Amino acid sequence: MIEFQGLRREYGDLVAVRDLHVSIPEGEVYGLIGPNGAGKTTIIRMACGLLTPTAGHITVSGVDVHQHPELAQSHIGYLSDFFSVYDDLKVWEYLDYFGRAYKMPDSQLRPRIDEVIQQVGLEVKRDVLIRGLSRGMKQRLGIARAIIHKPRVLLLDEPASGLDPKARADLRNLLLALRAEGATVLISSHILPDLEGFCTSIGVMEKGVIVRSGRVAEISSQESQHFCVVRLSWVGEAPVEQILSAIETVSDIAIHGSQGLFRFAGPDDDLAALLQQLIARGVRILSFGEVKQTIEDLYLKLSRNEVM
Amino acid sequence: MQALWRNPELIRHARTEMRPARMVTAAAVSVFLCVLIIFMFYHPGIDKTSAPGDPDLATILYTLLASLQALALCLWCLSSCSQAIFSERSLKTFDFLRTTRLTSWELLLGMVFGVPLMAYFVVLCTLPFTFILGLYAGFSFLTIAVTYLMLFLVSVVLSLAALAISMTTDRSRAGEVILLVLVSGTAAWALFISGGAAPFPGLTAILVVVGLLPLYHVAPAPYGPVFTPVPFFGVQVPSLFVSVVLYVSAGAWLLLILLRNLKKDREDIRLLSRWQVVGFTVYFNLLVFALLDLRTVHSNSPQSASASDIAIGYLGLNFLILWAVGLASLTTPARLRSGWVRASPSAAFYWSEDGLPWPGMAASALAAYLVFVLEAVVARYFIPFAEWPLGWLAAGLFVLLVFAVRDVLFLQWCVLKGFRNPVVKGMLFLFLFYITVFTLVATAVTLDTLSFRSALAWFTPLGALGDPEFAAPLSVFVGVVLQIAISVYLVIAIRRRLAPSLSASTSSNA
Repeated sequence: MIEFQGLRREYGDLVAVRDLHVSIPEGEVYGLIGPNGAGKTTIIRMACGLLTPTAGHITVSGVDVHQHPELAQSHIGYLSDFFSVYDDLKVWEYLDYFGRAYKMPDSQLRPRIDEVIQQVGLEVKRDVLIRGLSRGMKQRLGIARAIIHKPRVLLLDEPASGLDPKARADLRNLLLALRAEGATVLISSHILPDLEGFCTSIGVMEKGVIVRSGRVAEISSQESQHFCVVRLSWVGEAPVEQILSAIETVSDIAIHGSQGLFRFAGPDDDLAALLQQLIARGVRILSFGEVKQTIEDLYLKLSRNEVM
Repeated sequence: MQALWRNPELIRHARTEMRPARMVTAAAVSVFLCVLIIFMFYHPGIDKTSAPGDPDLATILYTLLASLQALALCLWCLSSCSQAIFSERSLKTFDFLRTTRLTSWELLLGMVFGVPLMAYFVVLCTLPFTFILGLYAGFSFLTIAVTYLMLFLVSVVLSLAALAISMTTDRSRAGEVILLVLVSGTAAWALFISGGAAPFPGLTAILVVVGLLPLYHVAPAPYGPVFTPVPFFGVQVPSLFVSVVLYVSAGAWLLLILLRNLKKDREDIRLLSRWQVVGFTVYFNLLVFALLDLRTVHSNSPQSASASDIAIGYLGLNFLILWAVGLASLTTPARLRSGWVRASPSAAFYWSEDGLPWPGMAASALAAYLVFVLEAVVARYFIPFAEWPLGWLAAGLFVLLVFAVRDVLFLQWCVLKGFRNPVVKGMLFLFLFYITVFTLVATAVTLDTLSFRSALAWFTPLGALGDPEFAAPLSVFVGVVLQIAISVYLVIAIRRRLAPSLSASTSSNA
């Protein structure tokens, strides 16, 4: 659905994006994560035809974005991080304008405007001037604008920036609904919890390079093969720290009272053997389990080049 | 293509600007002002000699109201359009427009008529007053209609010019644009009053009012010879016709510039393509030739210009055109790098659309020469063909091309170097260079004119502009060789700036 082939972009002497090769299949929600200045926005702006690549090609739904921009853009819905809206227009007029700009037939446009307004929860604001909307509402209107023409691909650049927690939760629910409808989404963010449970794939960017890309489950599983974080708790006095320290595959032990965390590098069998050893040494275990990795954990691991 | 009234951009501006309350207020205020002005003049206490039905008074009122309408419309168009694209960019709404399926043409159409929509509405509200006053003053309906059609044409061209400026700048230029137009208008008016710009009397047609005055049967006496029909390609035509040609052709070039760049990122903007700059050179040379009054330049009086004088003027003009062409085809760093990465192993880079500006300049110089030959053939009834110094002109154009290419390559290097406002800074450096050369040469060889000219020919294009019989070919030749060497050095410097792209590209390919 979205293909980046040898994509490169330079600003003066700075290489913002370097030799990017990524393919995002249909229905996938691809999270582009990385610190500010990593090149996420540049990638998204190139993907929707706003920036010309120094080298390489981008195709969306099989259409080369820079060869046939207007055709490619009919498949794309785009939302940037900080944006303004036309304050002097009413909510429905704003959507009507973009619907016309995407050349939707009149017969489809009116019902689609009502449908989208309902989808983003702005029914009561339909006939209100945009200047009267809150920041969160404007963001929702931005989403409505991006999906008014039923695009097959959504390109969202830091869509949750500057939103309060409530508005972020609303935005997240809205994006989940769009995902359920089968949209292919490329979303960038440095607020990683926003992407949790939403992205099916991620790409970790640093200094213009994708250091790791793939499905979240696969990356998580691969990382677990290298090491995992284990949380345990026990009852009574026990030399847990002493026992764990003697094991080669254990590191980063943190004990607080009768609870602890440690990092274990090895297969599942060895972890089970470790639990048996603790019990055999008289530790009365209350709980023992692997801490589920979040996208944030994955990002922190990958971005520190721990597995590169 | 959508009909104008279904243009989304126009509809947006109509919805934003023309809310009922705003429309009623604007209409009421403009009508009230018209009525106030009319009553001021008709008030018996002010002028007891004028009866309310006096046609002269109607003429004065018509002129006053029509002038106010023209001034308001033109200034409004300039002011609003010179901010239109810039403000959309700074609010980050323009990116959304660029990602829609609106074509550049549709977007432009909506902007040209939508941005100053309120100004058009105000003029429309006051139009009945001027029409009635004009008819009462004895002017024909056609005369008044032509006047308003010309006003519409001028306002559209001004809107296009302001939009082009807004597209290329990174801050609001409304003040500068209005000031520039007012100064230009005043200068053109001064030119008109002083009797025209012989040998280019047609230039006064920039002031549309010059062409309109005959329609109102205004006595020509105070305005001098330019009031009469002006020459256009040797044929005497009404000044209004030349005005239409000037404004329509200028509008067409602005339209072309806007259409090819409007939906591009500011960093990717290049005003004209390689071939379009050649077309611009041909157009401009033909326009100047069309406006030239050959009868006055080749009269029998000793003050009249010879073929050599015309050729020198033509060279000077084309040095400016080559400079303008070079500026219009400067390649942005992003595009230059992109072109370099794609085509650097081959010579194709130098000729490609994303390459350096000099191929377009060379083609323009060649086109300018061919146009001159054509003009010499056409003008043989005024000046015999053998009198035209065609060989000398070809050499002169080549020398000017070499100097213009050197200057433009220097500007291209400044652009690539990443200066802030690189073109302005580069032009400033070049200005300082020329001033320094003049000062040093003048100080060194104050008394010897030939040495002075020879020294200037080494560093400036003035060697090519000298009298064909007086110029020292050796010093001009030395100057050309020196500039070619400098240009080669500049190309090497530009290649060095692009080198990281090349090496990175090669490694990625490997």
